[in-house]
Amino acid sequence: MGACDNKVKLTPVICPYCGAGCGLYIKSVEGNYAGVEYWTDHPVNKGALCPKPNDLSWIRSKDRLTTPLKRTESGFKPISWSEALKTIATNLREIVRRDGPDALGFLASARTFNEEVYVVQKLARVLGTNNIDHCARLCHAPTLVGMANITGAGALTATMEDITGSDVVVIWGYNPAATHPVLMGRYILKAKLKGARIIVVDPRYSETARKADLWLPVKPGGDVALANAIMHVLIKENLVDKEFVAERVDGYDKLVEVVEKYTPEYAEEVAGVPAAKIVEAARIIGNADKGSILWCMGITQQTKGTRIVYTLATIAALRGWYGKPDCCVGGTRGQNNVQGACDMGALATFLPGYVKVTDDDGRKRIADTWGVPGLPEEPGHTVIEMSYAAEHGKLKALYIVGENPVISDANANHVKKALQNLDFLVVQDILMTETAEYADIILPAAAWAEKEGSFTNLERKVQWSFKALEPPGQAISDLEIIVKLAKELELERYFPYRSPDDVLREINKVVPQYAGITPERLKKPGVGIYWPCPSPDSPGTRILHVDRFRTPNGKFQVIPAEHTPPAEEPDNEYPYLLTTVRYVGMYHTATMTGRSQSLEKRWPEAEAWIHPSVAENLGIKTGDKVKLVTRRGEYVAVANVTPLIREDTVSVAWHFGANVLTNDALDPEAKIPETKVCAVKIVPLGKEVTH
Amino acid sequence: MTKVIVIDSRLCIGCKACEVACEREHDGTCHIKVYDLSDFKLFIPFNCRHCAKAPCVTVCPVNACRYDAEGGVYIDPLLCIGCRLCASVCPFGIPEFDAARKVVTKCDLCYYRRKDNLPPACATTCPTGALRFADISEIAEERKLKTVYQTASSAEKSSEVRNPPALI
Repeated sequence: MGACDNKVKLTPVICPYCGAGCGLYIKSVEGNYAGVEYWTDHPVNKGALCPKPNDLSWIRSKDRLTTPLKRTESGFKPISWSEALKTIATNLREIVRRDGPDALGFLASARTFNEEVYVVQKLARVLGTNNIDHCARLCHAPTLVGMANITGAGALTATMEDITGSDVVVIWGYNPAATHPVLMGRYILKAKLKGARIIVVDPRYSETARKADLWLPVKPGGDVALANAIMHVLIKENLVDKEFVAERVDGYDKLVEVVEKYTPEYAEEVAGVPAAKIVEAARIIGNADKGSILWCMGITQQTKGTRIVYTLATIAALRGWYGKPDCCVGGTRGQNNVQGACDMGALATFLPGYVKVTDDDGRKRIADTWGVPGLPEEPGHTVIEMSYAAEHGKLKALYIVGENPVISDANANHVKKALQNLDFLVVQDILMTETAEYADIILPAAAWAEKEGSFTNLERKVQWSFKALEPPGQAISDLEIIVKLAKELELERYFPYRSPDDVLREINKVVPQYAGITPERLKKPGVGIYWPCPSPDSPGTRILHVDRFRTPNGKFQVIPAEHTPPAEEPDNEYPYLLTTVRYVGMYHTATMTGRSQSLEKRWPEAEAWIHPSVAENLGIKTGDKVKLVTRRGEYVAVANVTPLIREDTVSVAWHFGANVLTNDALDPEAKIPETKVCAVKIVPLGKEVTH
Repeated sequence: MTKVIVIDSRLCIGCKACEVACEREHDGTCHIKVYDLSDFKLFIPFNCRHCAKAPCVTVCPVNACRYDAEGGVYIDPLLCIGCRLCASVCPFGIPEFDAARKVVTKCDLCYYRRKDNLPPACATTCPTGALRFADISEIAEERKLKTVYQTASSAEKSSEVRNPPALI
């Protein structure tokens, strides 16, 4: 500071981590990173930031990729961009010629801009395959599929501001204090200060549960039974909004039939929550005219994730918490652009704007706009299916943009085998990752602050993030990489873009929800537009389903769900339930946050929460190393012996590789793996002390 | 102005954004700490109170520990002799000895940020409002207002009370 102040430039950007969409300024001197400053009048966060963006020093990490790399016998060797792109184009073309386009797979990144995700999925489809997916599959696929089936739209029904006006906020399988600290602090706690009751459903007494009026310690996998029991009480005690149900809900009678047997006592048995607490929760919910229900990975990462979404959304329907202010229902997205990546069609079953790939008219409309003769109509492989296809030799090449499945996917050991089995793997990233170690070609990408484009936050708000810094070495933006690769593939006529603005203008034409979200409107700092925004003069849409749901007949479609056990249950050999959690200061696979010193030293390693009664039996004390063992792998963590978790459950932070333990059994509808529930054995290793 | 960091621990979610922000603003040294008191279901962030009659300022033999123009208590590292008297008299255990630099360091209420008209980092970054950079009289007025509004609204809701109560 001081003397060099006049050289310091502040550039407005949107945070690169969770889906809240906080604004901040990057401080720079001549394009070099010089710190962060708070954007105190940004509409989402008013300056507030969680720990993660407070230390962005990873952006200058020596591990940044600065040149294309090629695998050789003696490790990775730097090569030129032209050699890298030629090698990729040759291999992709050869594989398409030999095995057809469905031998290719693409993983897009929910951390890149809408414009970049859009061109990645377009490249996959122009090459002739729907094998394009991204990590939404691993987080909110059940939210997307479930909410789409019953309300007609997968997105959050209203805005974060609406949460603040609720009389009750139900937080289910979700620890916003760690996952979305600004949403917790500025919205959920604001509701609480205004008198709202907070109900938290979690096997752990989480940081969020500390602020709750009522904590329901659900047994992992018991969520459908618990939700059904709450509806059972609502119905029995006449706490249903009859008028709303009569006018706007289809299938209520069938629901009444199904939830009949889910008495609080039965749910206590199955879900492990005392019956009295279930009744208390139902009464709080049943007496609130305005309410919000928010959920996250705790419920979606299960083999019945989609069915849990059905039940939670239906609780809100029984209370009429749709289409009006101060009510907000849905899954809160965990990546800064995972909503946008879904909107852009980086999904094996959806084209941009949620046009099903099997929808002939929709496909033709998009093919015409792109000027291609046709588009593939078979649904593609999803994330986990791609690794099985690779294992079975059906998928020959994989092109990964900014994802790290070796750490993020369930049953990570299987993912490693699958990657080894590929003929050709390209990884495009900002930093060396565990996944990139398996690549044939690695491409250096610019980080978010080194380029510009739009992000869509968890409440459907689209915001522009500006370029603050110069990328290191030869790194270029993901958009530039794809455009160059398309040229090398002789597809440049479909990728005539010179800037993100050009791509966004095409998105305005292709994605009806984004029709009015033009670069001109978006590129004013602080502006955010909620989709659907049908025209350039539309203010956007804050609340969905106001007069009708987006379903064919305009009504909420109840799909009653039955409880089923998780794919794997505890037995004599693996006696406990394992669930995974995250740290507030680490982000996903820790590729970025793990390289920021202030974060790394506070959240250095994976902790396992173990209940004192279990720990005593096994002779485990806080700070001891424990080995967690499942049928798929083993993982060493540090024990935290604490009564803040159920006796039958162990939790472990997954950022550093614990997904070698988790189960990749899939939800049949959403194809999400059951990362949140499996059976585990605990092996005490004691203190690693040398005398 | 006598603004300080006012702590409302009921709102703290233990995210440690304040710690990370403080560390960034002070070249890797952190002057605030979040305590996890799980037995009490609380997180409590704690840093220097910038006492109006600060024992550390009184006791410093070389006048290194002093008030800035806005009432913030800071230690000038060029004057500090590392005697640690300030640390021994502080009722809150705030000043810390930096063995490498042989000086005592503490929260300076983001002296350099305030020089640029920016509020301290910990309170600005706090996602919940558990930390606020405010004059205690502002907080007191907010609490009084909250009480009188609650009284007024409960009076309005109660059918037995026709007029606002004269006494609380």
